[in-house]
Amino acid sequence: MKLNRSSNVRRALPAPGLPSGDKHLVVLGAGGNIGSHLVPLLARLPGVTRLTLVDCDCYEKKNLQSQAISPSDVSQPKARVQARGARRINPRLEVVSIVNRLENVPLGCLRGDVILAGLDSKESRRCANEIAWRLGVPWIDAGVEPSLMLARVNVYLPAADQPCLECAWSERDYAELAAVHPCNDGAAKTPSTNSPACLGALAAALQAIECQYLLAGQSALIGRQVLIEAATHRHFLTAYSLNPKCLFDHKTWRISSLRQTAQKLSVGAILKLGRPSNPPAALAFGGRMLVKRLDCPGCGFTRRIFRLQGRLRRGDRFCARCGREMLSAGFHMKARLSNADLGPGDADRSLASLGLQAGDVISLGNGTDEKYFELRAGPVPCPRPAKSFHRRNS
Amino acid sequence: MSDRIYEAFLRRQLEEGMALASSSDVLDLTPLPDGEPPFRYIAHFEGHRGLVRDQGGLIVEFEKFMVGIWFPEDYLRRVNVPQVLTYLGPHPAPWHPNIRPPFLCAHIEPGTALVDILYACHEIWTWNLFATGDEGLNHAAAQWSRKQERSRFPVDRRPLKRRAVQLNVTAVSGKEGA
Repeated sequence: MKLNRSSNVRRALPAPGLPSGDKHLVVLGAGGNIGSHLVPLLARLPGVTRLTLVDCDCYEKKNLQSQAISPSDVSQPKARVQARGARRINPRLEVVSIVNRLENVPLGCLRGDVILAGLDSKESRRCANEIAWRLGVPWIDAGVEPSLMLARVNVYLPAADQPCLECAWSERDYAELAAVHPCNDGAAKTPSTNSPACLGALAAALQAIECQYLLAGQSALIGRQVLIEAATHRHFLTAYSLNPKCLFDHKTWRISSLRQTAQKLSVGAILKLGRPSNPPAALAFGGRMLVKRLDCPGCGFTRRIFRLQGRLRRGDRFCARCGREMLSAGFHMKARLSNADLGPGDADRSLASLGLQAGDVISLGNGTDEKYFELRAGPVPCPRPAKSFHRRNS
Repeated sequence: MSDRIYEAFLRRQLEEGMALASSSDVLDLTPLPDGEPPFRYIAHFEGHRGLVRDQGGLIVEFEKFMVGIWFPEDYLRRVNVPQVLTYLGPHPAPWHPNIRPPFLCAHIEPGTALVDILYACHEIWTWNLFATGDEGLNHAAAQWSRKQERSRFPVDRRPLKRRAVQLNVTAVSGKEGA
């Protein structure tokens, strides 16, 4: 990794040109310290006609100091508040807000021209990196470190010779990711960065500038990071390189659209699409696990189920006896489903009954040769433009 | 990239895991045939004492337990302990703060090796490891353990791996013996 003073390295770029065509931007962590300052800037970018805003949280009183909101926004979903603000700035903008955890949002709903992330945890950034690579969409990550008054932006372009977020990660970084333990009641919440609003705005402004360059096909920051040390008025440019030992597979999926919806397609029908192979073709769910049994780690209550992890209904997720969140043990889950795994009646189950939605990507193959399919929107559509969309089925 | 690394990791686990099983008198390790190299195992421990609660509510010693171990595709990058470890029996009521069927809680980080997991499971079963500092999964067992004399634990002190014993035998002649 090289660390250089920017003035020695970077050629000056002309002001970004106008992008051609209608551009769709996807903002992950749209309501946070960075995201709340970023969305209004993106709403004003030329050529941008559609925004998809994702944030699972609601505003709290403590956010008033650090995020671009007003007191009336407190206790409302962040993504919705920002969507309203973006529409006020640009009434012709199509804005979709998704109130859900990033890992539960259907992959196809996050396909845009650029993905921008202002996320507050390593795990969410890892997830954003994976989404961008699977879809083959460039993404711009931004972060702040208030104790040193640092703001940074990284630009990643999914390509065979390009570094990803995880290329710079060590074992320690992975160890720092929050592990799920059955003895913890509920997931640990990421502590707030307590970053001042001005630092978030600085990172957001840098991110919007890079986005404008990317949309015009001119970015010079691909595979690099620009970091501003606001306290000392210095800035640094760091070039990252592809790490051949990176633990992320760097695969971009070639995704075809299915003609039928999740409601119409059955598990048996989709398995029939697989070509005869050895081992036989199996159905995978874009990295989600199929849960066949849930157990309460508190009282031992057990429930049989046939649904995807992250798509459990509220009534299934919580213990009927003690109210604790139920979990599934590894040997009661399936990563891939083949004909041999199906019990009586399982082949006739619709994909929707498993929790699959429009925009979800499934795959069929034997592990080496995989074909990816995106489920089409049906009666319960993938978020439609110009309407606020609320998902809470995690 | 990752596929090659993950595959190499799985091959190493198979080699090291089977080596440990062959040098242990209590561990039988079965790789499941649903992957090549295998990514799921059943570890069968038999012969070392752990504790269970019998039908009458008594805490008694028991010498068998089975654990399912699964290394999912993203195991080198993130860990979901309930997904990696499954308590498979045979006793329905194991007695330990870290076990509540089908869950077994151990400290696992991304890429923790199979042999380290097997050692951790053995230490949990034999009560070499139990002071979790919180109530764990089985609150009653955690509270019970705090009331016991420390000297009672571990329940079984024998190591998982067979000790190599070197015996030097010297022939003693009949005359000297007399």
